[in-house]
Amino acid sequence: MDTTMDTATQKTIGTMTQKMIGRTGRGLLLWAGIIGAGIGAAVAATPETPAAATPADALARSLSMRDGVTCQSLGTPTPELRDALLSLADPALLPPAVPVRAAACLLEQFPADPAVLAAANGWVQTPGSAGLGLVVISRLSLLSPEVQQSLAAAALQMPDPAWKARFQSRLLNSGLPAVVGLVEAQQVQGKGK
Amino acid sequence: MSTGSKTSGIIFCVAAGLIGAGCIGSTGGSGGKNGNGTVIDTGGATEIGAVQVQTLAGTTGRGGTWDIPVEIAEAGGVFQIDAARPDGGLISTEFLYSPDGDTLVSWEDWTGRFGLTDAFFVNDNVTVFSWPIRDSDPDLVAGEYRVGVGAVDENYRYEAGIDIDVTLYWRPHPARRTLSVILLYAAGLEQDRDVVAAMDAGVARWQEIYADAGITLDVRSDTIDMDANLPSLYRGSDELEAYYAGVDDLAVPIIIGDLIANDELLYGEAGGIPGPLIPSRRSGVVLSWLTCAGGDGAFSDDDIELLAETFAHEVGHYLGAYHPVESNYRSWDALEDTPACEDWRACEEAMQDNLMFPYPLCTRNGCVDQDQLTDEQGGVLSRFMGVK
Repeated sequence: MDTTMDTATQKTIGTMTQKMIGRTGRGLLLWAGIIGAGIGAAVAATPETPAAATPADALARSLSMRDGVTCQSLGTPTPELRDALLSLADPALLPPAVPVRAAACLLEQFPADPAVLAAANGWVQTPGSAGLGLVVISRLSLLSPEVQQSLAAAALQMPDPAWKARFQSRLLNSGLPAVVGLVEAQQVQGKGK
Repeated sequence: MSTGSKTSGIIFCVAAGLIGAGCIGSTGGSGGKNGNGTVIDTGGATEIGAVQVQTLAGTTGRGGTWDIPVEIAEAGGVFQIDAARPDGGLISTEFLYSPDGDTLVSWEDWTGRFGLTDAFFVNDNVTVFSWPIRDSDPDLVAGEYRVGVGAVDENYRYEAGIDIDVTLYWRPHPARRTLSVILLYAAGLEQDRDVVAAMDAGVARWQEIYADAGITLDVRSDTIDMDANLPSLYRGSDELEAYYAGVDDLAVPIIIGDLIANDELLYGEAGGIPGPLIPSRRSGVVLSWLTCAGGDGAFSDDDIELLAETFAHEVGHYLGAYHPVESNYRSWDALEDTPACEDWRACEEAMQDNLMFPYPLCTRNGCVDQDQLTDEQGGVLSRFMGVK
């Protein structure tokens, strides 16, 4: 290591140029701070797609990874991807991250798609898919104001009291004024009865 | 607990007369192999059980590095340094030099396809380096080791004259191996009976998994004022740093929330491999109960098993273990008893039941239990300073 350079002199080959940033506790390798000759070898975190797997299997595998995946990495938001994700947003599927991530990616990649919004409307009102409903609430800020209010109102109709309470607390903490107002109005209404 | 002080050039032993164990400290003065950096202050010394702790401060030399002297008074055991930049700038570990002056470890050997420690990666304002890591690493001998750290700017250029605060830890190989963990419920989740019941069941199963590796878990719970959507520890959390400032027993905090890092929906995430023992924005683990419970939000037996494995897996990272193979099948851990398989079929066949495997393997009918650790993986976990 060169120890004679002045402060902040840029280091070149063999010093910091190969150092990578971002190997976190989930094992994700991000890219190097490449300077100088750029000789570092990137180790991408993209999961390998098994050759024998179907596209749906490959998508499910990607959604299973402990390191996580970004929704953008799943591909272009085509109707085929939407349909595949809708089929994976099945609460019975294992590992449990698959339906959770599928629901999240649907809302992120298809925030105005009627089929997705219809599914989301069902998730927030059905105890058997309430986990996906919680994902919807966590993703409300991605949606239009009208859809936010519509889904929030639907979530407040959740028949299971424990889930309704969870939804209420998350909606109150959503930071979305119209949504917060909706919950507060329902609480006032409830007290008045 | 004992305290003391140190003068330059004199080995400081923490309560050595009381416990007859090794001691750590800094001989200060001229710095390391290349004359890099200077000790400018030595702080107090304490003991946490069998772990001896000393703080010191220094500054990087003209080359932007500081070779931190670590005096080992008694052979054996493990040491760890947590080096932090108070200015928030970037720091990483680069080298370990033996008392004979040999280079024991160089970052250049461990930033490619094999993972040994996060210490070599420029992530944050804290770098955590422990030694020895693997069964095959040489035992500590008495003498002065030096750990070279480098301070860099946002363009990865070395910076001279940067203050660095260091906490040194040393402990002998423990007769008992107990890890303390704190379940930290965020956003009022401690009042959610279903979530708490699931966490209790998951912890009970996690205790069985770690018991097989010879580690006893001592679990307590607390709360933290944090949104239910937890931050990724890649970016860190001010709330976690503030909380950990009040933890004095080297326990590992695990924050329980709905979801993590809204862009990836991780099961869980550790603050480092290994994680810091000083208060920092990454001093802990975050865990999503919802990603473990799934689309129905209710914990089945399979979900509880996965939750337990997620606790064990993420804390396994915090204790120093890598995935035996990454999900690209082109990078591996540095251990000799985990195969360097190169495709999904071979890797699943060889290690599908391994606790540190990068993904769960499931069918609609259930998942493969991933609760096994190799001997070397168990060794890595047991050498973590907080396992005492």
